[in-house]
Amino acid sequence: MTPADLPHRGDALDPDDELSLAELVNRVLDKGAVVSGEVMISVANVDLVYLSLRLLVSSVEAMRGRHDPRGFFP
Amino acid sequence: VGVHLYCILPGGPEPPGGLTGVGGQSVEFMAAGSLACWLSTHDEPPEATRATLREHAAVAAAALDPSTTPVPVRFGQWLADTEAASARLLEEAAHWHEILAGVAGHAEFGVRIALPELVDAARDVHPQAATGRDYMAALARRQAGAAQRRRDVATLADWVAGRVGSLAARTHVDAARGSLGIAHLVAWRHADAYRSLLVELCAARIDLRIATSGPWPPYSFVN
Repeated sequence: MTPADLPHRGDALDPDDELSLAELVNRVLDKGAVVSGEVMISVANVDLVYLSLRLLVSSVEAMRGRHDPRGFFP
Repeated sequence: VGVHLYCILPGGPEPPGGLTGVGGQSVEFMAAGSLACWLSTHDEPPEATRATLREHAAVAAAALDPSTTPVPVRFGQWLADTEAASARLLEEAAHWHEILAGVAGHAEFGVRIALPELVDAARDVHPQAATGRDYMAALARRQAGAAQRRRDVATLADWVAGRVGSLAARTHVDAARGSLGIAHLVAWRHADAYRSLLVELCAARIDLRIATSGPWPPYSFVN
């Protein structure tokens, strides 16, 4: 790999690669400036719920009311 | 109807002609005093999908170059109209100018390292415990995995930090499940040296799955 091979412009090496997806999701959904004080997110595709994003996973589980009563939520 | 925000800029530039954002909507320029914002108009708040996240990121990335570092806005910032968006920016104009000044001349780069052994440990968090003993054993494995995870993350973060050194003006470490994410804020004048270093870093640890990315607008350094 050479420097020129590195991904540019905030895109990923491989769109299907989960690490690259984590790079995108963790920035765009979990970082960045908050202007309005509220973040409105509706999740159309649960497949998007990448496991590395604890915030989003928690939110989706809360919406779906699928808490594990044993507390074994990862 | 409302507006979806992409990034905040120090008064300019305007988006390139024909630039589209989430859902293929045209990206518009909105001035707010000495600040500016790129946004698009939608009938309802966009849903978060892989496609819309990529579209959102692409717009903020289009505003990034060595002469301009935008403040990227988190996906989901939705306001009633441009007047409301302008008012929000003007309310905290000094705050936004301070953030813009802090990231000017820099871009964000990312290093993400997979921790597969920890992914396996996480899978064990959902045991089909038939007995209380099984349940407690699974719980103990989980706790041991978490402790190992903290040690691994610290070791890897220290290793990367030692290699990058002063090439990064600022660093943000995000130890998410299954991977370690490290964001570096790098001055454009150091970008080539930083990229070369990442290539060396990947080559030095072929035993690890490492993804590098960037330049990004400084998502990890604007809060």
